[in-house]
Amino acid sequence: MTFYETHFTRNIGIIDLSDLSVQVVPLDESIISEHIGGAAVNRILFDRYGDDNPIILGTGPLTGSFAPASCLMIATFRSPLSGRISNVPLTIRTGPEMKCAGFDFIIIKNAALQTQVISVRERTMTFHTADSLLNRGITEASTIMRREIGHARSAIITGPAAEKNPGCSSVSLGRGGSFDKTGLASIMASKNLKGIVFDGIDGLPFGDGNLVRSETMLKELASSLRGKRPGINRVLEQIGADSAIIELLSAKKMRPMACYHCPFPCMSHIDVVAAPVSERNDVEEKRKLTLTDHLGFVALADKCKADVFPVIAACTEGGLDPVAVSRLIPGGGILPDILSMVQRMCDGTKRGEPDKDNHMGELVPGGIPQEERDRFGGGMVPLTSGEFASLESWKKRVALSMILGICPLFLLMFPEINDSDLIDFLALDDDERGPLQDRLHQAIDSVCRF
Amino acid sequence: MSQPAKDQTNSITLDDLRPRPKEKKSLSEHFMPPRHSYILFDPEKCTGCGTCEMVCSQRNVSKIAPSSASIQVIRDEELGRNFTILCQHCRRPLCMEVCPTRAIEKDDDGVVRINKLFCVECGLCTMACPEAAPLRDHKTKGINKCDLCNGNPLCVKHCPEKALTFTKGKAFRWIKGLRWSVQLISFLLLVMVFVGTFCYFKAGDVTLACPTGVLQNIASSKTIVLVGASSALALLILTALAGRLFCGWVCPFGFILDLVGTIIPKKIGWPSFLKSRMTKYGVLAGAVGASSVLGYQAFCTICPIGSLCRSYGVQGVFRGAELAIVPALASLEVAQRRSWCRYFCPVGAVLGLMANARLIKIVIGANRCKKFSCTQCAEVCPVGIIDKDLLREGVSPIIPMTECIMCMRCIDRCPYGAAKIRFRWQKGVPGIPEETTL
Repeated sequence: MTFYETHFTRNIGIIDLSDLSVQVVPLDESIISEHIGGAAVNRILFDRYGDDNPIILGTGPLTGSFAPASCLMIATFRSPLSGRISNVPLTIRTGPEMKCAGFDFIIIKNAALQTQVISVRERTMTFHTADSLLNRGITEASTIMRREIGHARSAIITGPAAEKNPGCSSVSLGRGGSFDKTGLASIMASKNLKGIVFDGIDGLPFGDGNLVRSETMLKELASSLRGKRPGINRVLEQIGADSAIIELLSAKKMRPMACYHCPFPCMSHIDVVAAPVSERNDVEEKRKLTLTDHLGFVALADKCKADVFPVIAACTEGGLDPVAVSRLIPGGGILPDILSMVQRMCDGTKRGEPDKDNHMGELVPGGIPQEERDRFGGGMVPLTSGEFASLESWKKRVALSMILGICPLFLLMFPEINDSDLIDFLALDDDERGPLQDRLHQAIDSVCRF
Repeated sequence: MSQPAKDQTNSITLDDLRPRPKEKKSLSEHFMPPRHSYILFDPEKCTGCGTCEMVCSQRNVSKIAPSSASIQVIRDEELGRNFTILCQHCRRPLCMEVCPTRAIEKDDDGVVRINKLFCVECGLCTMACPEAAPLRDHKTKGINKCDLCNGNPLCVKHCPEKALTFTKGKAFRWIKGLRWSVQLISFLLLVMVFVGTFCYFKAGDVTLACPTGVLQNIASSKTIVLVGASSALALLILTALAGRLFCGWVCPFGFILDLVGTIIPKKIGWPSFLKSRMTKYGVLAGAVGASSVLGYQAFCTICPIGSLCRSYGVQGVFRGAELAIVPALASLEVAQRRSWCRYFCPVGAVLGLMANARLIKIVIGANRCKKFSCTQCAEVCPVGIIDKDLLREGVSPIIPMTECIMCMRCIDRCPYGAAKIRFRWQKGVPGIPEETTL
């Protein structure tokens, strides 16, 4: 059996929002043979359906497998903010759940007349009218969706900012935000798409041998893993964030959180005092904040200092991009004023603009040029040292992760994992490895170019 | 209408096909229960990566299909923590009791398994289980339940954060062993060797006496003799330091009650109107009052502790009519464990009052324990002061140290380290060191 048969469901779902129709077509083996998967195949599908302003949700061959950090789904679309084609990495459990729901790729075309939530389950995609979710904060929307649509193991949701302030919006995976900084939320809002939920009950025969490989790889990484503290601190240290910003976290009680099969928890749950976002949102004085957006945290902490936590909580609740919000915060601003500004951004009474000047590049050493940030979703962290400190090596590493379906942050943090280690998980015969490696490099080049 | 003819055929019933396992335990099982294997989950370490679900589903259905695993991780973003739904292989599995086809068996190794040959996938086991651990596979509609992978659970092996630990339970509960030993030695010394010395002991200038007896003595003689009063200090100081440790570890009558309670495990229960812990303070007041009226230590004549301590004769036999009080009060054990201690003992009442000045306390951190299906601390507590309902809600119960007899069964039994001894000024409970729930 080839990896096409063992690592893919071999289904593509096509959704046309204009007439709420769905279609399931087989995944062509030749596309996989030539382009491997993930962002490379997304681009092919994007070109095929480009006239319909599609969002392509794609997975790689290793998504959902025993390869470490195999959590990745990639959303490819033409960014309404920059006009460039953007690949946003969506982590946590989105990719594996979409595969377990029966799809490797989903193409969402056109726009709906009424606000919709798409539910993906058991090789079917259903629509749920979601007018009641408009202007709801992320938490409220999630609760209502769970009640009306049913429990879902993974979700991509937009907040009120997507409708009211698209230039500053970001999707949320659950309640913790995401790496979206190039307008996925904005394009979803333009399509009247409030959210996409995945509930996978199926699985893939990735093979027992991969579990052994995974164990071996984790043992080899053990010393590297031990040397890094768990949680968001790890990443901030690697990207050279200001020590004062890292200090803000040390005073907080945090619980590390990891994505699917990831041995490197780079996210954290933190206790914060939160503020209401929409007038219909219940006021919660104290709640857990899930910190997933490293660059967003750095951007806000630079402006808000110790008040960063309630502000980032308000941003994630409203579906705002913290980087975009940080640009509007005046120096020396006090917390009530900042929260009020965030509220107005969610309402749309204060407009923000996308980060066209690459403000993020000033905050973090070794910043990524705007064009490359747009290409890879805007949220991926640059590294200040090591093998991937140079732009070219960074691009290729992120592209590799997006093709195979491995979290790019994991691959950036562990340079000792090379592409042949990952190809091992595809369980190929020896004479297939060489040609596949060549095709992989070609796919990486194509992703880095388009 | 004529009566139908009796059915003469020998029909095979479920009891013939699937006989229920024997309920009565052998003596050795009673005193040395078999080790109980299960998987411990540490919510502090779990990152929600789901590796456990992956490897379990791989074993169950030869695919990576987390929804087909026998373990499920619940990721609660609101609380900022993760929980697992996982079979605890309970000592008394409720799933086994409700299964209509008796497809669920608890084997000799203590593992609760579902025999798929007999399982009709009705889901009653899931409804009965406090953990809802038998999980419906949404793909195959079957029921998946953890079977500990024949003693080498894959989830434990592959958990990257070591949040899952496989344990076979304690081979030897050292606190239990120590306590029984101390109780036995105390019984021998107080009852058979130093006969009568619990009530009153004098050696030179050293005088020791039962505090309840001292109170009755003061009431009956209407004088306070400082030497007499101070003789009760030994026991009172012990109580001030370590709570009612005397009741749990030293009291010879308590030893008898524990023995009876172990031999007769089934309890018929007390009527609720009799279940007042204030009754013992009333008994104390009555004893002192009666002593004052009658002019002698009224209660001491019928005190079971005193009767036991005074009744061992030089011929090596227990004698004396007053000794009849011992089995009479010990029979209260069939109603509830340590009934005498809970509701009636005036010595316990005095020590309970003194325990307000105790140095140490027992705390139970509900955050640490697997509240839904464990609650073993509440089950083993002989004086019933641990609120099981609070534990199930995730609230750390306050242990009333005036009632606690410091037997430490809860600490001994807790597999999660949720029950601990702390100094009274220490805030927090296991699992929440910064906050206080007391």
